[in-house]
Amino acid sequence: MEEQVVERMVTIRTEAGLHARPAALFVQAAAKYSSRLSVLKDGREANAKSILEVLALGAGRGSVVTLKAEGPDEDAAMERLVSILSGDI
Amino acid sequence: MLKGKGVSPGIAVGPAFFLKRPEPCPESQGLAATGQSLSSLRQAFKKASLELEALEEKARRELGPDHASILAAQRLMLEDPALWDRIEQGVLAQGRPVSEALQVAVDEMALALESLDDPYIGERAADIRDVGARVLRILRGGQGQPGLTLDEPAIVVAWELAPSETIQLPREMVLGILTGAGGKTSHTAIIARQMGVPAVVGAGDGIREIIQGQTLVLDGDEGTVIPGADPETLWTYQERARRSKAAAEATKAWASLPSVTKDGRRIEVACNIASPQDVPGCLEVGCDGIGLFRTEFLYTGRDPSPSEEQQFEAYRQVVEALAPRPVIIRTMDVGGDKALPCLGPEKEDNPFLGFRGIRVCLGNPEAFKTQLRAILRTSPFGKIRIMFPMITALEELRQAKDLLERVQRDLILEGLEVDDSVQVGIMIEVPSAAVMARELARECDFFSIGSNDLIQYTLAADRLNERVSYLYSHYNPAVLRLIDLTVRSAHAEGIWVGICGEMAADASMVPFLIGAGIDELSVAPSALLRVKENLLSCDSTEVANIAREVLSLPTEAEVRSALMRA
Repeated sequence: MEEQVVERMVTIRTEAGLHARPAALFVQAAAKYSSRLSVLKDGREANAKSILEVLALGAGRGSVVTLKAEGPDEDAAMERLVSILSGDI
Repeated sequence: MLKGKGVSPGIAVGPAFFLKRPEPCPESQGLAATGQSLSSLRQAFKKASLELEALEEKARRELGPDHASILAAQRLMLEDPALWDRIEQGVLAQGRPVSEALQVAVDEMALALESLDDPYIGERAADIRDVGARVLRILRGGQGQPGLTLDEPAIVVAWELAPSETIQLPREMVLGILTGAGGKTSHTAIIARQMGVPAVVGAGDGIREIIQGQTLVLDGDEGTVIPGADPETLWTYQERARRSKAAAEATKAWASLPSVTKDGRRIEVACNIASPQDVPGCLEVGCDGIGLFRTEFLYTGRDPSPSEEQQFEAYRQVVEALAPRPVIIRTMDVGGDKALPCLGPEKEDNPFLGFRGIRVCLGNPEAFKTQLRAILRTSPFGKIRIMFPMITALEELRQAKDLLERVQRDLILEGLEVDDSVQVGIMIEVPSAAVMARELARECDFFSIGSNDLIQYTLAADRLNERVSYLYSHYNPAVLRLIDLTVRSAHAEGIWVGICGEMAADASMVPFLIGAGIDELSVAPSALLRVKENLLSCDSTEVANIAREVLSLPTEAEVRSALMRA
């Protein structure tokens, strides 16, 4: 069965957006999944497992980003990352 | 004497200690030798990670979790797949030696971070460079951590201090920091301020003249460093150091006192700011909130006008930093002496009586809505209040509120979070507004008196026109009576009144203002403590009597002498 890309739009609600500590938490969580995970903002795409690419997005609190997941654990990864960005964790 | 940028206040007197050579290191000290393989690079990465882990622990103990997280982020950078991919590409596809591929990858990623508008993220570029330098040192066969030990308290001198180096300086031994390179927002500046240690950065090549162990006088306020000062100069500075330490402690004490009159009536003492950069100064003096957040800084020199995202980021910074204290955001107040290209107008004959204030907002509805959207979106992050400038008639207030309500509905429909209890107020800076204060008070939540413009419009005199500036005065009875009318009208309708012009910072006016019933004073951060001091010595009954007396006086001279006597 062909794997489809799962996509979700999220408003970042974590305290410091995707800066320093929250970015680190986000990237560390993403690293645990085997799927390809990316974060898109303003047309730029970052590998969610790369701290440098995620920081380079410059996404602050209140920013709206799109998450993409593709792979065997794409649904679980998506749920988790959405929770982190939404400040549920 | 050397001159640089003072980035952490205070005076330090002590021996110079060179942490490292005082020259800039050449950009890429690539290894001459080849024979470094990708697997030895992997090993170097592992070693670097262990070193950073140890430093992270130290930082957590001595400087707190925020600084520790800088090092945690550096460790994550070592694990970054994108970084490794780039290095591997450089070696395998482009045939570079390993150390060069590393340097190139590091430079590229640092540049990507530096090219963003956000200064905070730009600083992370220093982190990736720091990480790269550490790995290179390990590859070269050394310790990733240069040996940095201090035997006695000293002023630390270096060309540049990387984040991981500043963090591992033993706090008790550091009297001050001096670097040849660096700017206000560098890591060194931030950490020095956190450590409470005076620091000067960007002092330039001159630091090479300093001799190890030489006594230095370092002034973190002025940004000056004096090597080899004579005993008299030394003594003067040591005295200053003692006095400024005492003053700093007094400030801290004042800042933490509640803003109440002698008999316990609470008055808010807030600050006026012109941009997010003014915020730290306000927090230092213990303000009760921001009484006036001027938003024009976003519009000056910009064409087209700033985007909603840009505005949102700037407002949010301030709102979050002050939360739970209120921040009163004034919508763009341009025109008159503050004409801006993106919003018009072009040259006017009579700018003060022209297209300015709320007229510009209402005359540029798209730009106004964008600003209102950006402001409302910050409402979940703290306590915001919105204020419209230069309202001259009830119709203007209604139009502005109407636009605000539409914007609010749009945001809610889009699923964005908006706090619907945001207070909406207006500036009273034109006589017609003071005269109609009762009606205006029924349709808004607060007033803020803009005394500078109120005085000018009431007395029809331009304070910058030398021939008539003598007429401009805080003590003019007409102005005081308009203020009194405004306050009484507001209170009759159950709303509060603040004042944000220069009059609020005039110590001789404070008794009158409090006596007239003003609920909030908003002043420049530098004036706040003085105002608070005055406030604390006011007694409500006494000042009410003073105000009553003053309001009965017909000339400025009599008002002045009555207030001087008070």
